[in-house]
Amino acid sequence: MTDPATLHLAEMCRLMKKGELKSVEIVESCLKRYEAFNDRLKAFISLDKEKVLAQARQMDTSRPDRPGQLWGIPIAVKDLIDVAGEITTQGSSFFRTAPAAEKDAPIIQRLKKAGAICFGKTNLHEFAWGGTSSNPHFGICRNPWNPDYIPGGSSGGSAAAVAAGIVPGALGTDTLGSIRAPSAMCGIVGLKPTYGLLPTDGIFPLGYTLDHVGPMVRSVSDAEFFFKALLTPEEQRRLNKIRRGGKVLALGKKKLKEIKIVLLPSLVQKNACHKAVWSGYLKSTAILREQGADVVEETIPDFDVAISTAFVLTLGKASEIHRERLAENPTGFGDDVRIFLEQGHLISAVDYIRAQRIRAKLVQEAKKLFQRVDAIILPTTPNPASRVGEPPDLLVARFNGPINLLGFPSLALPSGLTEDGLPVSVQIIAAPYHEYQLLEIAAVLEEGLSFPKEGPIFLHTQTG
Amino acid sequence: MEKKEFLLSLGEKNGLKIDPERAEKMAQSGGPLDMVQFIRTLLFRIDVSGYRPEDAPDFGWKEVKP
Repeated sequence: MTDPATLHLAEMCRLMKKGELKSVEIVESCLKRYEAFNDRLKAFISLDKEKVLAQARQMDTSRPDRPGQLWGIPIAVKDLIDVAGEITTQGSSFFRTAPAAEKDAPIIQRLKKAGAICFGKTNLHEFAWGGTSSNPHFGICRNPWNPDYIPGGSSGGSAAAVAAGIVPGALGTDTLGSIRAPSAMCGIVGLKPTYGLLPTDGIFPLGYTLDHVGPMVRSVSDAEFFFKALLTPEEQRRLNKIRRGGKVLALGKKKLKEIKIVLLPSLVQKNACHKAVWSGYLKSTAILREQGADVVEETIPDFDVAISTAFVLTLGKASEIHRERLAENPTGFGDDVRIFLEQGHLISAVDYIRAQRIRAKLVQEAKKLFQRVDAIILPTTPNPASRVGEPPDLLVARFNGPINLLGFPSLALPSGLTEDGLPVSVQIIAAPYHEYQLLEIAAVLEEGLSFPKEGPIFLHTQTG
Repeated sequence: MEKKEFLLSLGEKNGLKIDPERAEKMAQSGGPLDMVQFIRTLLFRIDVSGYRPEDAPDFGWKEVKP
């Protein structure tokens, strides 16, 4: 029999619905993989094994006639998100022994309402402020494709856990690309929804109005399944209405023949991308064209400064959030985070207001562009994962951070492997609240890209 | 003011513990101070005439009537 933990989320749910799979079988299988891989990967900060097993047993015996979409499915949660009764460490020494959260963050309430089991809290870059997840307090999180490499960040533990098949899905958060960059580096799918669509209360902030929460999974159909499960019925109804009002995908070989997709070649070429990233990008655009999409080159005026703008806003906000901690105990932070927080004090009110005005301009320009087009395609990160211990890639948020500034939905999709066997990725960006269309385009592209379904080879060598 | 002195004064003003050794490191060419200065310069190259500061994007979700 197939190891249940290696099934994709949507397939697990289908088998559960048919009565061919039990929650306890899935959780036991996930726990086995946790035991096999977590010491090396350090994907999790905490996991109460007895508790998740007991929950799975209880859910198998109390399955209602109309269960939630994720009934009995284990989902890992980034340890920046409050789960009642558990400590939210935020990957930080400051909160290692903090009191447990008194209540679930609204996104966890939604997850539990859908029937999911919160399967542990995942490792992250300290306070989500960085892109390596080499956490000085809870261990260096590693990439399942090659543990000598980082998984990306800040939701590195969530990405590693999903890529390693420890869980079928995880929640991540994304301020400058923290869902999409680790998804790219670990060869999984990550969805950053429209700003404000999924609630971020009960999630420790980094950039407030740049912060998003979303699903990290192993396929586009899983992303759709998980995302829908996180929506209220009213939100589902509204998104459906928007979808019905949009262009319909065609049947047959030219599924995207009504769809107009934008390349931003000036932005992409200006920055040296790794050859595998570039090749995955070109391959993706070729597939979109083969599928009938009208792929055009466009520009968004002043988009080149979007990452600097997003960075200035995040520096200012994060440094205000941590002001007292930094003043009282600066050595309680890892050195990289401490430097970011000190840099935030170099941002003046004048800089901050300028950044806010640029944001207003870029959002307006992007809205204008989306009156003519349906999606943008960009690489997710300019480079694949770097080696553990190497200086962080300063360009890692180059293509992601600007999208947080816009607040538009974006999905990271694996587009290939480097010669060394590390994943690379493209991202598709759609107009606000057009997640369903985004997922449809991504599904067509995913089929054409044929990313290896067997997952990281390293894991196969470990399990024999 | 020298970069190092600027950082020491900034630290003092904001209650941050930036000692001379740390200030010197931050002030090195291409270091954290230079990086922020560079980014700030980019922001002021953009013409934002007609745009008011906006923090959270508002996409008119309410326009999608039930």
